[in-house]
Amino acid sequence: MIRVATIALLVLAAAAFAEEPPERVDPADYPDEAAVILRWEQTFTLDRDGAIRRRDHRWTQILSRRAIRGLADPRIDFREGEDEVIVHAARTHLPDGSVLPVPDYSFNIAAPNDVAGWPEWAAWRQRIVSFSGLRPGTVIEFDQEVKTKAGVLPWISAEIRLDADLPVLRHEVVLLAPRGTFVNLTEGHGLVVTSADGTGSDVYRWTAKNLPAARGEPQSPPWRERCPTVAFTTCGDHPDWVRAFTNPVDAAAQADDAIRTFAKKAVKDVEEDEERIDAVIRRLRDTTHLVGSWKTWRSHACRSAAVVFRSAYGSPLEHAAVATAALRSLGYDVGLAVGTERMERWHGLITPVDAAFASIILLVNASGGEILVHPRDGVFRRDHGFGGHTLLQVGPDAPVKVGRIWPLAGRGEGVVSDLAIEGKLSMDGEGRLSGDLTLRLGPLFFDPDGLKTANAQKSICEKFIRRLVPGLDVKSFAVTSFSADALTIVVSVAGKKPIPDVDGLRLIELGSRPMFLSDVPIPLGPRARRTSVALKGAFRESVDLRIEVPAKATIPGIPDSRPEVAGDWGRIVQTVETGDRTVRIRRIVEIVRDRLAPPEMVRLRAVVNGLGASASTVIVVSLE
Amino acid sequence: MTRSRLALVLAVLLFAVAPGLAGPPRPTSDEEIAKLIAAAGDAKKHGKVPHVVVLDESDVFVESTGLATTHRTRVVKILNDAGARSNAVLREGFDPNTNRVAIDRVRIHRKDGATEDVDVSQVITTPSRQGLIFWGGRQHLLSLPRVEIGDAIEIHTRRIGFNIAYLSEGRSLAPLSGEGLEPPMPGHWYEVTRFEARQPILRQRYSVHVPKSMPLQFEVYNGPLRSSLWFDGDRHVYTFSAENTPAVSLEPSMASWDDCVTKVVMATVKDWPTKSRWFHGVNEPMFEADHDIRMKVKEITNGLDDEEAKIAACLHWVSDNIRYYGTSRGPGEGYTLHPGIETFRDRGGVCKDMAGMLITMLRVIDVEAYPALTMAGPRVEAIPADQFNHTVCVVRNADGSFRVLDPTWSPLSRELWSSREAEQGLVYGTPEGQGLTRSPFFAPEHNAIRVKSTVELDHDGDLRARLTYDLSGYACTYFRRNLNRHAPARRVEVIAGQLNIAPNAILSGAKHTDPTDYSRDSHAELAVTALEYTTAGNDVRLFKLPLMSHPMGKWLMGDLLSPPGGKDRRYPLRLRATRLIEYEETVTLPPGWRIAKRPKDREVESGSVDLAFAAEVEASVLKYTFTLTAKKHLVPAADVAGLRKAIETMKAIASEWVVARREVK
Repeated sequence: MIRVATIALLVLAAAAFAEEPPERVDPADYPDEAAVILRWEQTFTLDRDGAIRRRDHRWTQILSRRAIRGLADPRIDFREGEDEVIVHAARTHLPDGSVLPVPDYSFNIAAPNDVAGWPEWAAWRQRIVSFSGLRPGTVIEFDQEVKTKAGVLPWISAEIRLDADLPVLRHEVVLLAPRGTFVNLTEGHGLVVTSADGTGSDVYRWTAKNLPAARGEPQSPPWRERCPTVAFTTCGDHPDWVRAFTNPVDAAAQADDAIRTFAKKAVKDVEEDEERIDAVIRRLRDTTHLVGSWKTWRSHACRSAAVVFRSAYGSPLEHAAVATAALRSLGYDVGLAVGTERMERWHGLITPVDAAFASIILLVNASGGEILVHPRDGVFRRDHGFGGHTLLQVGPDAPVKVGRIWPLAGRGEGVVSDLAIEGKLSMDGEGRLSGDLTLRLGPLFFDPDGLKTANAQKSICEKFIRRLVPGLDVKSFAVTSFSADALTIVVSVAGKKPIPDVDGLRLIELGSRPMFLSDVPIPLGPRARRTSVALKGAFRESVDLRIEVPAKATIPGIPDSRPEVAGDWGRIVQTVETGDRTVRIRRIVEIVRDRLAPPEMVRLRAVVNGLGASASTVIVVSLE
Repeated sequence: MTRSRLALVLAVLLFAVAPGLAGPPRPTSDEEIAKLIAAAGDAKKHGKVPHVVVLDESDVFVESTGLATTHRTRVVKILNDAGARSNAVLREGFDPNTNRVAIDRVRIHRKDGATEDVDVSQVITTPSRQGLIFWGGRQHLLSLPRVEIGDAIEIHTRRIGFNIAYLSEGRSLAPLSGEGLEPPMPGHWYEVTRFEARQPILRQRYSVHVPKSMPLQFEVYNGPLRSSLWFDGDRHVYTFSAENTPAVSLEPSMASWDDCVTKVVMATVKDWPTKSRWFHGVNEPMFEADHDIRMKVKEITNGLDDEEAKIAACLHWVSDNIRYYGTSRGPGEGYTLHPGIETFRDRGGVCKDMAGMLITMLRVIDVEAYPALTMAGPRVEAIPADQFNHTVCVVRNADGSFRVLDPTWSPLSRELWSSREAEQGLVYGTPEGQGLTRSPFFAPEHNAIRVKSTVELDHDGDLRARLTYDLSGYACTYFRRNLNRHAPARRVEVIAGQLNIAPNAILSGAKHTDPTDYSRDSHAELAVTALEYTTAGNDVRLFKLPLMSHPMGKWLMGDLLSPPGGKDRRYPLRLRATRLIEYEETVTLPPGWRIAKRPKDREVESGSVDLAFAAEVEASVLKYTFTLTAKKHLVPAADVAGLRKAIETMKAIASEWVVARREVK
């Protein structure tokens, strides 16, 4: 209650000097927008003693009630004892020019969702500020600052998106650092560097104006890839950054009896190194909670492995510490590296910003060589969702500037994955289909680890065969080739029952969606598209299906051929040929990139949706 | 050991560990707890649940003020890894304005019989997470030592609060202060206690120690419980207990939890009118209007002559302009309404404050309005215990009858009382006091989806359709809400995404009513094109009935589009509202073609849903009508099969091919 009162006083004091809001916009100029950010000032300050201040001052004009829910109750996360929150101004400028400050009872405290309920991070708080009087025509002014005590963070680092889901008329980002501080930063975006201000700081100022709204759409690339962003860090070079994460983990990774017993039990009767490592990681994952929020590792703190193991919950760093301790207790030599987000997220910096941290990666020296291990997901056989990530390692004896950087490829990344079905189906005199089909799959379409049993192999056959011709059962199958990146299966299929008679006709219905869609989704709903589309990977779906009908049967309806549509992105074509008692359908949907430009997507959508029309998918057979 | 010997041993064991169930209630001893844990069994016995509740035992000591203290002992046994993970931290949430909680003792019983006491001085108290209601909820957190499968956790807590206030005698526990806690209705206590959970409960006892001067009325709902009343000095001790209660398996679209599980409802309040008068009394000072409110009322009722229109105008204004968020005014928050003047200035509040705002505005135009308590979802049982989670507004009509209004559920709706709130329990807060009543039932016709479709198929098999929608009640509301999420310029595109008729269907034109125009029900006209809608072929073409693909169905009848799962239904099923779906579609073939086969007529009648489909063919024209009537929003378990049959029939019609043949000349 005291804190609430203090904040209220600050707000009231600030209200006495209330600044006029920037000039309002005419809503008619923004018919598609619910609000506009009139001015946005973000100031980051590294004090000479190492304290860090982040101030955010924003004026947002509400144009439509649709905007209110998203703007009304901003939340500021902070850690009690490390951070101080100062609300310089929180008020609503009403349409008549009067100002409505946020009342005392509208400053509230909660626990942030991502760490709520975990004792180790119980000091994290969320200040919620609920604005009053919101309606179209009002301007929300919110000016808040979080000050982090000296010694909590080793450097100042940030990654700031310049545009927003709303139009931004003016956005200014300022970094103040003590004169002469090394700053690694993003060039451009109106950057102006002033050697010093009155406080003896170097001032870096980025300014952007009239930025249109940049809301994401289904399958838009991440904002880091598509939005103007500036980033900076005062961390010297990537080995320093890597060590800030790996050193605490390394120090914490001491096994006690409980961990040793746990590890030994986990690998009982398991011989192979990879399997032993996976067994330990799997048991750890099954019995220990991961609290993945950045709040758990902001200051690179890591409890000892023994304490974490006993508490049965931990941060990503702490999970790595327990995993390392457990593996070392089994005699493995374990080194540590850091996996970072995609390279473009560094925004041209030599050193990643802290937000680029993705995971500690364990480098296990085993008899067959080095094995990369994710502390939660186990041995890196596939991407673990880590496609495009970068691994940074600093050797124990390496000089500070020498590290090891290499990319982790995602499954299906950099190759065109096949999804092919070819073969023949025959219809008997009662309308039942049967035949042999060959299924070929590339890396996007199967997971070798998930195909160790005959049931799993049968399931994947059924999955794809039924996407092509719903209602078929797999009678038998033979895996003819199987590697990490390619799978070929010959499948004998038969209809569950004869195709029903519809007024003397039998309809062979192909799936109304191409087979790839469940594995590589594409946003086929909306007609309009503003942003690029991100796909899981490049692929080539190919169907070559011959259907033979009984001797006396006729084929009064066959699917239409579709002329080839091609572009830099790939091609789509369907050809249908009829012969004596046969129909041959060949279809290729090939997309050779994992990004599609908006006009390409619009074209692709129309063609792919056309492939689903009845005229493209149904074969009509008359047995009479 | 033979099976009969094993049974004998188990019987003896159960008898030995169940003394608490005979005679006056008493806490289960440490020795008994150890035996209960040993007898509780493992995952083989209990299946996939993460843990089993071995013991859940509460003694509630009620003071004459209405405050009470609950001493609770809870023992859970870990059955699998998920159980071990989910019990890493003990969490006890509370609202400091109404409750205080102490964790008195926590003991880990290891699988091998060893015990380990957890240092409860390590409890950390933090704010809890909060969604849109910021009432200062807090929680105690205690990190537990890693538990393994077969271990058990014994937890002893005390909770003092509105419904509980007894500082126990003769027990060496840290004092738990009830200072600052005052029950909403001084001198009264109430509680609703459930006896079923997502995990099996092997033994549960709930005892209420109440002064003899406070008569307690109770009733058990949804199943049997063992009960007793014992005299204990100047107290009556009411005890409810159950043993070996299986876990509740959730069913799709299941009715509210409280309508399904065994529970006991208890209250010392004499009757509902008493509660009604109390609610009126505590809130009556909140409805004063100031100049600004009076001016706003004048503005929004300007030009409206009749009272009905003025009431609707006030309700729509509150619904659309008072945003939902909760701030606390300290003690009394939760059951006292905020002053209308504050809600108006803030343009925000929770349901009770929105109701208060409406009452304040209605009183400006001399409408006799009061707050009312209701329960959104579950039944309100007849025992006058507080079972409410929602506050609304009630208006006394000229003839003395009442009508209810709900501004919280009415944003972007013509409904002054939501069709999703049918047959809810209500207690009006009036000066003279009212009994428990129910909100109106909404007949399916109230929530109508009426669609007329005219379809033309050309020689290429291309489809051109005009669809006209007339929507009322629930369907009207959800059409408005789905559109209003988007800027006006985007709304046609949003409708286009809901067509369903064919993957390549295009919305070539659309007109619709304004989502914020409350003067009329929602109406939409859509022009749809789908190239190559029929199968290809020279002399025969096949197609499916376009309207049976339910364009915009996800918005208007999403809860009716898939048959409910679960064959052996145990619990009722809740639809979002009753519904009447009436389709009329005419499909015209190009000249020279005739309909050779059409879907057969069908009828389904059941207790919950009726369906009728009838088609007729005249040469190249197929006409049909389809009617689905969801007659109940709460479908009894026995009627779910009827609902399922109707929905499956609807899907069968939609998937059936219509055959068109070229006429032979």
